[in-house]
Amino acid sequence: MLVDFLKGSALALKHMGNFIIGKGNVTLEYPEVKREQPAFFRGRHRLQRYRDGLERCVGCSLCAAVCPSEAIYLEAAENTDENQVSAGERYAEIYQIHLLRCIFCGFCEEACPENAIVMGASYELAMNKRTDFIAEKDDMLDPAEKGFGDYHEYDPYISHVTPESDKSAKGDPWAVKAEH
Amino acid sequence: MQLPFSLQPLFDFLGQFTDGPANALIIVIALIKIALIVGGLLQIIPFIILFERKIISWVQDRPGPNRAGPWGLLHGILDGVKLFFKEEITPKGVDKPLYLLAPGLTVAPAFLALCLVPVGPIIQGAHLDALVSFLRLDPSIIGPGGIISEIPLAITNPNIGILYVLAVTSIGVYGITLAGWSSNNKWSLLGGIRASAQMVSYEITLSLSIIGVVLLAGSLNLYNIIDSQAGGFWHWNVMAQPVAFLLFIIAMFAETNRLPFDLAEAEPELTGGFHTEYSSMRFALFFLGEYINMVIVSAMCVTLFLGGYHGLFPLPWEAIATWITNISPSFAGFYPWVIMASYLIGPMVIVPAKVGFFIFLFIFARATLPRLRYDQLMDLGWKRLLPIGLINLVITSGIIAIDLMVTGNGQVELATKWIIGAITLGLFLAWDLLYYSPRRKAQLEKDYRLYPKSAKKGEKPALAS
Ligand code: SF4
Ligand code: SF4
Repeated sequence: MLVDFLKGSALALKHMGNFIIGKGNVTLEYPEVKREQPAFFRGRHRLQRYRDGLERCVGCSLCAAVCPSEAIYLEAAENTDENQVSAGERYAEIYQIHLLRCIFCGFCEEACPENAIVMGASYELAMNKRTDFIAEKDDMLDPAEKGFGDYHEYDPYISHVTPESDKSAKGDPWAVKAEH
Repeated sequence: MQLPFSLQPLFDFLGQFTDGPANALIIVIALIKIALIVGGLLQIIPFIILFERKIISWVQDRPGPNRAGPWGLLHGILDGVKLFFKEEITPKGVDKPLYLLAPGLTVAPAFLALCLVPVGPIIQGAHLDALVSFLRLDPSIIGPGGIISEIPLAITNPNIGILYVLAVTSIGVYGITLAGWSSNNKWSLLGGIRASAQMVSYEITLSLSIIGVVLLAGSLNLYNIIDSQAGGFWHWNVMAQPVAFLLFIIAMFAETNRLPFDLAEAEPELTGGFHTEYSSMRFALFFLGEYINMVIVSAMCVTLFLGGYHGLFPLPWEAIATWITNISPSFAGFYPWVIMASYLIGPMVIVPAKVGFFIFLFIFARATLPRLRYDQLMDLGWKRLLPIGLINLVITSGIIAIDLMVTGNGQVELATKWIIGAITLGLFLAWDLLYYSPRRKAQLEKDYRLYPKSAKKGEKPALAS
């Protein structure tokens, strides 16, 4: 009985000693160190752009239609020559996602024909007010210099190429850091 | 060396209200000791809680609380602040007087037992004389020949010290039982009942393990018990009573309701046990009581078995002081300081270190051992520890009786202590190894296994009958 006690205590002591000399720590010090997310992680939404800065979203409302929790609200407006916002005929004038309703299923991303809405890598979704949980278009839109891809050439696959999947093609699927 | 002014007029003045300056002096000395010991302990408890969380996390391979303050040092204090500002909720249907009384009933006995913990030696004789002349007090009131002839470095020093501690700590069970009873909650009640049964059962083991020590010292006074262990670690009672020491440690875990015996608050079963319905400072009082109790039983264990304020090796302080003063004339003034250090090393270094070891043991056991089932707890208490304690007591008292008859000087010889220790420890180890032999352990494992070991790997196990 005593021997068994000592055996068990020795194991616990070993773990404690290992920790004190700096081995075997499994905790990430979260706010300072952030866990890297895989490319397929479904975090906070992003609205992407083309290389020349035009928005990809054409205001087709497919994402709003497919959303199972009806978290997306959008109003489309016509592009004009003076105000060319997106690459298509129309663009989303108002684009809101209610992050408290969203279940992060990723259906919007799959439904989007332009690869405009994608699930990003950010998982920091805490806010101070309920109204802050309604993500506006400006909150989600990528900056212009992060645009990629070219809409002048027709390529049925281009819309499926994201910066993330570009990287994962090079064999590093865990390399995406949380953004936003 | 003397103070530039005398303190005597102060006590003469206070003496007008207390029937003589001696009484005033007694009260002032007691108040100073209470402030130092109780105040010091209360300051340390948040850090004990922090260390508990740290050590448990280390055993579990994680860093533990490290957000508030450097290295997380403020966590314990902030816990207290948080509890202080929480709302006190009194549920409907509670037995109000008992409900309000219970937290106090757990903390008060803990503080009462704290009065007896000897943290340092008794100041008496020439050293007291030197202290009195330094403070310029009246030697007929305080001094070797005065009304107050000694100052023990414990809040008080009654002759029946150990009995008082046992009596007072067993009152603590009322707090827990009444908390469970008055809360009007099934789980609390179950926790209270468990606590009372458990503490009553283990109180017996606790007392049995103490009796051997009392026999060795020939006194119930805590200072006499410590003095009987003076002169290095080979004189300590743990050498004479190793089995009683083990029993005391086990009973001490059960008495303080700590894991592996924390059935009274077993979270998975009782949602918090007796303190489920308590919030804010009332809950904090239970917590405080538990931690003070931990410190007290640790201090008692140190006093009874580990030589109290005596260090591992005896140091001839007066010889050291004389030697230092003889090195050079410029060191001549150091003599009283060295003597003072000899008195302060107990309360400042030795007792905290020894008590800290037991606190670590408490925490470490919590991180290591699983909680016992209720029947296992009662089995252990009544069928194992009680007989072991009785047999240990019979052997100890028999050998002590023979020793006293042979030498006839009323003292237990060092060799006798070692003989008692060797015999009891040998018998205990033999019993342990024989009783829990590999065959029996295999049988026990079979009895308590829900699924039998499957014959082949990958085979689906059938439920044991
Ligand atoms: S992730 Fe799912 S729930 Fe969230 S917005 Fe997109 S479709 Fe709606
Ligand atoms: S995000 Fe995609 S699916 Fe939604 S409206 Fe814009 S283009 Fe259509």
